[in-house]
Amino acid sequence: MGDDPEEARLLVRAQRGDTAAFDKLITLHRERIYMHTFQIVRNEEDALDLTQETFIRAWKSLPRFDGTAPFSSWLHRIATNASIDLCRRRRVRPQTEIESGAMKIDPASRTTPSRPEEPGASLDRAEIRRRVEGAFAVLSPEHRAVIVLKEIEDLSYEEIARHLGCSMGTVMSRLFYARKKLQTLLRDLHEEL
Amino acid sequence: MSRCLTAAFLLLVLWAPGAHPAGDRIWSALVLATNEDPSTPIPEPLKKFAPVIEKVFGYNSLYLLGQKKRDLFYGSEQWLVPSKEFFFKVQCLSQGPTSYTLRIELYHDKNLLVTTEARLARDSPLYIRGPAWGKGQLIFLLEVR
Amino acid sequence: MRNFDETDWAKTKSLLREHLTAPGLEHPDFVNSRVLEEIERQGKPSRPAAFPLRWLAWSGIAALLTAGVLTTIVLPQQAGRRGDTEFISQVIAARAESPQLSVSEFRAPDKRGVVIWIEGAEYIPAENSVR
Repeated sequence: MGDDPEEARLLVRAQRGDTAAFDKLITLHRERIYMHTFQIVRNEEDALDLTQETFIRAWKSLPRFDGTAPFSSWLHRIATNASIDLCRRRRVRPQTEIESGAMKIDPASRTTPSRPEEPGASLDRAEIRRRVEGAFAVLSPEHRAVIVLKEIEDLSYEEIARHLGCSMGTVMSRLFYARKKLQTLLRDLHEEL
Repeated sequence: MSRCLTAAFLLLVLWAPGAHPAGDRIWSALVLATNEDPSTPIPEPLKKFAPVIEKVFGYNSLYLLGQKKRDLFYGSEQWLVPSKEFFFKVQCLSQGPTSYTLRIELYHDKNLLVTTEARLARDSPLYIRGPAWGKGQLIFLLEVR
Repeated sequence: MRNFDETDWAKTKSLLREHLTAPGLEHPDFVNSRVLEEIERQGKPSRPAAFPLRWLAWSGIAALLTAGVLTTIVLPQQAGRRGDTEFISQVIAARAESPQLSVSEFRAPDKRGVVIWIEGAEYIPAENSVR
């Protein structure tokens, strides 16, 4: 059940139905789970929903958690699957969000609101970010997940395979495809930088 | 046997009177309303709300601070975050041919301000008078589209 | 992996790590409270089904058929009496969650919308962000 004895004690209590213990486990892991789901779905509200969904699913499956893998890995697996499920559903029923422009309003001002200053430097960086996010969004949920787990969270191939419930061979071929795709999509950006 | 059940069920679902179109969304906005500069052009998304806001709340200058739109369907429960300080939790309790019964919670940071159960019909908005900010008033808008 | 340029990939990886950042979790305690609420809500033990599934399915179909027949025959007679209230929003209940707030509701003057009026909310100084 991992190296942390305190977490192990909380897990034992939570598995017996102690919600106060589970509350502490949520506090220990919520930030990482949120960041992990955000990396896949790239949307704050969805990541918040998925974080909650992850812990709710974890609670239901807690009696079946046998401690052979660390609890955090087990949680991450639930989070990854929930994120992939959501992305798949969105591809069937796409959802768009509208966000307002970044209007800076001084409520005491007597003039109309002004636009953000210094557009030059911030636009370049914003443009790079937009293109990187755009390329990432082209990937399927499964390919996004392997990129996040390998290239951002630095998991081993074996850990990724355990996370996704697939073979290491599947992980390797998904990574290969995803890397090639991203390199192709971002080639122009490399040349401009 | 199971095929008969499935076919019968599908027939009834397709025939069911009062079936409503899929794809409704709930739109929310955070608006700053003031009387500082009446010549300020009203932002496009707020134009249709301006007459009511002027009549009810007494303001003629509107600024759109944030807006968000999300899918709405029976059983959905989600956060609508037009701004990081003020946001809604919207739970769809039931669904009719032209409206949705929603439980709406309005939060300011960590504080729950108001809970309401409302039946929101399409294109029939809910206006919520929020706190005063600076020389204006915050107004929240919710609408099913 | 064959035909894979490690140097190129290093650049791409660096871009990903720099720009695919995640914002911090705001209102983290809400995660806990929402999860625990849901656990409590779902925790009520379910009783075993009293009726077999097949019986339930046929009962459901029969009920739908009856409803459909009644809708087709009875409702058109009632339709004339229905107003346009189903097309106008309505507040069923509203309550303030803090003792210093009061809440009232009324129909908007254009008769199309509905207003919830909150009184007693604390004034926010201009220098405080609300976005």
